[in-house]
Amino acid sequence: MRKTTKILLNVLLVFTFGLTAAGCSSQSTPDKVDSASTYPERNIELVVGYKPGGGFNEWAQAIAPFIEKHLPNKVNVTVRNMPGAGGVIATSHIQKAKPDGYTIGLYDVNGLAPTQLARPDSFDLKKVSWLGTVAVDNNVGSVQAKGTNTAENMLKQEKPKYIVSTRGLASNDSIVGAISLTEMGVKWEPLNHEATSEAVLSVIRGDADILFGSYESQQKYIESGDLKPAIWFGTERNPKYPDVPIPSELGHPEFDQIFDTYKMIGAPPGLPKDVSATLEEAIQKAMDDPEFHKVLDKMDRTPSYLNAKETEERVEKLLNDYSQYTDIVKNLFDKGE
Amino acid sequence: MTRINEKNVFSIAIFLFGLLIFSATLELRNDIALIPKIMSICLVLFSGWQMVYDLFPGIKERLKKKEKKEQILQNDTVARVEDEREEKEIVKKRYLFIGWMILFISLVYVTSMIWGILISMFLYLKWISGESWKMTVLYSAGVTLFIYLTFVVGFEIYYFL
Amino acid sequence: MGFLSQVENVLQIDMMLFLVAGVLYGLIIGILPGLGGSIAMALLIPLTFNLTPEQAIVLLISAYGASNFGGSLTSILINTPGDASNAATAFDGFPLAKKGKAGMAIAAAMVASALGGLIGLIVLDLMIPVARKLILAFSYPEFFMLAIFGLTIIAVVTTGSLFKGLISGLIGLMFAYIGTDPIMGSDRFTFGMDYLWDGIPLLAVIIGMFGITEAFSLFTQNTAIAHDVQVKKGGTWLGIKSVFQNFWLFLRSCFIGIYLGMIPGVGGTVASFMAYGTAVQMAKDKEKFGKGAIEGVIAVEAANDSKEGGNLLPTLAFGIPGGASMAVLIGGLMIHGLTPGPDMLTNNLDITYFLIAAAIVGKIVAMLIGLLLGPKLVFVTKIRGSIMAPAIITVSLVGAYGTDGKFGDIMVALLFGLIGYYMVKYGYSRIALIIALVLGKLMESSYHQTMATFGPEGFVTRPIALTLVILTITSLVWHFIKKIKKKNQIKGELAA
Repeated sequence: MRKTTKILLNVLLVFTFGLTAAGCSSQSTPDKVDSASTYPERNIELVVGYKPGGGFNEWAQAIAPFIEKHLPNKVNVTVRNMPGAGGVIATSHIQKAKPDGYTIGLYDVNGLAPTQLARPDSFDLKKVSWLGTVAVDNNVGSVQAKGTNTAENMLKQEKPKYIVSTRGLASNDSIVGAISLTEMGVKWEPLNHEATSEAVLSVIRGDADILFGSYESQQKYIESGDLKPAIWFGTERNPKYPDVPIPSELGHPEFDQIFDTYKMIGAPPGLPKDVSATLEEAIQKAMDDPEFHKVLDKMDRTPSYLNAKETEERVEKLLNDYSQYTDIVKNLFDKGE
Repeated sequence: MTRINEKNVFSIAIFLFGLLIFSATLELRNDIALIPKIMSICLVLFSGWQMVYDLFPGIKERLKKKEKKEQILQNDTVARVEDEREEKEIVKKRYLFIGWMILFISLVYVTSMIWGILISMFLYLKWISGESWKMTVLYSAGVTLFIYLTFVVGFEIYYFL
Repeated sequence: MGFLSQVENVLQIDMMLFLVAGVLYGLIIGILPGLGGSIAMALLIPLTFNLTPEQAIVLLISAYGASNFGGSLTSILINTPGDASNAATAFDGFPLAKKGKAGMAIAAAMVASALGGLIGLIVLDLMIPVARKLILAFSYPEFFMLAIFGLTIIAVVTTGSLFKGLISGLIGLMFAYIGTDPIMGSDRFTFGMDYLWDGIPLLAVIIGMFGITEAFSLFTQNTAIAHDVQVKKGGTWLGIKSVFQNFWLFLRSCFIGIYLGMIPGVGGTVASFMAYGTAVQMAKDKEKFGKGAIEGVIAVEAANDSKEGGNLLPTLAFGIPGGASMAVLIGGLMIHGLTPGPDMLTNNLDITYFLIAAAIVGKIVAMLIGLLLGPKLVFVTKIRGSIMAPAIITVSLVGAYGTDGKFGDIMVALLFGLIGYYMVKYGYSRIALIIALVLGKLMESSYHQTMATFGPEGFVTRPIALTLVILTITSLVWHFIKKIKKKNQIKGELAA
């Protein structure tokens, strides 16, 4: 009850006086530690390219307090949602920001890499100062749970054409579907939606045949029995879904891994070494923090950490992998027919 | 007789906007362009008609005898009379206000939301509205402080800073 | 009505403390420009980490429910909606404020919201057994017909020149097409600007067309909003009464809200505009709308809050958010190990009823606080225009910028402020433009989606779609017959 009262008081404080405890503390801690490296001296902004209510925002909100906890000085790490153009707005924003360590971002590299290949002028993922990876997730293609669609049926082209539920070209989901189906020689057509929720619903209704995306984004619909996985992108079958084939079993081993989706933290190009070391360490400590794992457990999410160097290598590999399919991606983006 | 006034410019702008979207549809794939094309053609036709009306009031006079367009004409005549009645003073005032708003957003761009509010409120109250010093300082500081406290301190939205 | 069993669990002392805190917070967020229900919850979620799931539900849902109340206040008082869904409140709410009846409008808005929300939630409770079937019954052809039906409302709400109303609607459509195309999802009409990828932001347009346009005329006229009139006292009671005097209208608007709120992708903003449109359409005296008809306020606010019940339906039944705020709510619930989805209707039914009960109690508390404080704010309508103008501009720009912090949004608000000013001056219809902007994208994408999945016959072979077609045609024909009749009548009188 005491805890409750305390939280309540906090809540009331925010509303009635427009002051948070956090806001106060950041204002009233001038007692700076005199050290060689004074970073960070003020609040850090963690930019997310999507609106509240999605996987990326969830992760950012969850990890921000733990990065904060493990930074040498007491500053806030606040999440800033900067939705727009499938993450491009946020990415360009970070690209142009001052490399001082006060602007960092949570990147959806899988969505951004194909965009970069198709229109190279707005940002460059190779130049980002990578700090670490917080999550790696498999992709999955899901169909209506009570329907008859399976990966084998689709390969045999039992229907004259398959309708793929997508949400915007820049999104990773559409790219995965486009590349794999086209390479497998399946005739398909996109059925585009504004939001993931509409795309999911259209498969549940049976209006669309299949939907691609990260497992995280489809997990709850699969578990609730509205969707079922038809193809699992991974090096081996998921023990939870032992009947679901992986690409190599369908004759396309090259797709086993390239579509893994990453949530990576990066900073503007040219971040000073000492600053990046501080941030990398904070992120690593946060990822190891048992408290953070508790939060993730509650959210039913699994962390997978990669350090800055590994992250950089993965980004490079991702760009290379995708560039093999530039033509397909370009075709998707191209306007003239 | 053709006169260039704000009204004409406004209807020309609508017409040109329709034309712009229409010309952009020509570069698109057929299926993607379909609906915008139909609608932009409608807009070009309708606003073109309206523009000719506004540019050449003579046509209106002639058509006035035909009662079909009665309603449109009625509204137009009312608007025109108003237009003529509108004193130059008010027009000047309006442009002053537009200028001030442009200054406001340029300040937001160059500095930040909070500074933009403070400076432009101050300028407005002292020089455009001609308030007393006391009123100017108190009011602009009050508004700025309120926005600062709620947005920056309260909700930690510090891209306002 | 399963929620009744949970009401006593909400009426616990600690729950009520959270509830009141949530309501106060929601009201303030709602009043603040640019911050709406989804941001209200997003900011609260980190604070719920240490709470029990029940406490978290109470805090989130009461804050969300109350945020709508706050949004209507600024619409009525200074013509600057706090959120896109409150925009239609300004159509008649602000003219009422100009007449010195802001108190009445606020009271009517508060009561219509609260009761509307209540009805929405009760209907939600009753629909739980059939929820899943109901949601799956709506697909692209129905969406398309809904959009068309909504667009025909332009013909009805346009007062004055229908020709200029059409032009305004077409301009709105053009703006709606800017952004991503509905077939491939790549950018079009963006003229090389990344900013335009997501289309013209609705909230910034509305803030510009109403708030900034208003500041313009306040400045040039230099009078208070409610000049030449006594600001009436005792409006609160009149406002409360007016909801019950228009009970049929109120009820109809609630059902529009629930129905549209239920469909993901159609959303709440459409609901409030549709409710306004049908209110005009079914009224005997259409002329009074836009000039301060209390019916306009009641219809919009009733639909606006009852849609929450509809919104919750797909959220609870499938875990599919019925709108942006619901997506945030799902995130908040998942942190507490509650995954919205079919389980909420079976194993976790108690939690669902608890959520509904909390939302209902929250609405009532919000109404009481709103009725107590809202009418006190009427004084702003008596402040001199040249002092109010910069404050409204500030509120508007903060509102446009506050949501995402994009500078482009400020530019859009200013641009549409100018467009709005000239539209009013030269007899174009702002409402028509905004309705077209809201519905243009839905109409186009659902057209292509229907063609891809059902083919052209989809429009006429599905019973719900067909009903909507017939409804649309009848309402249009009815409208014009009435208009012609009226014209003939006037002519007859003139001849006599």
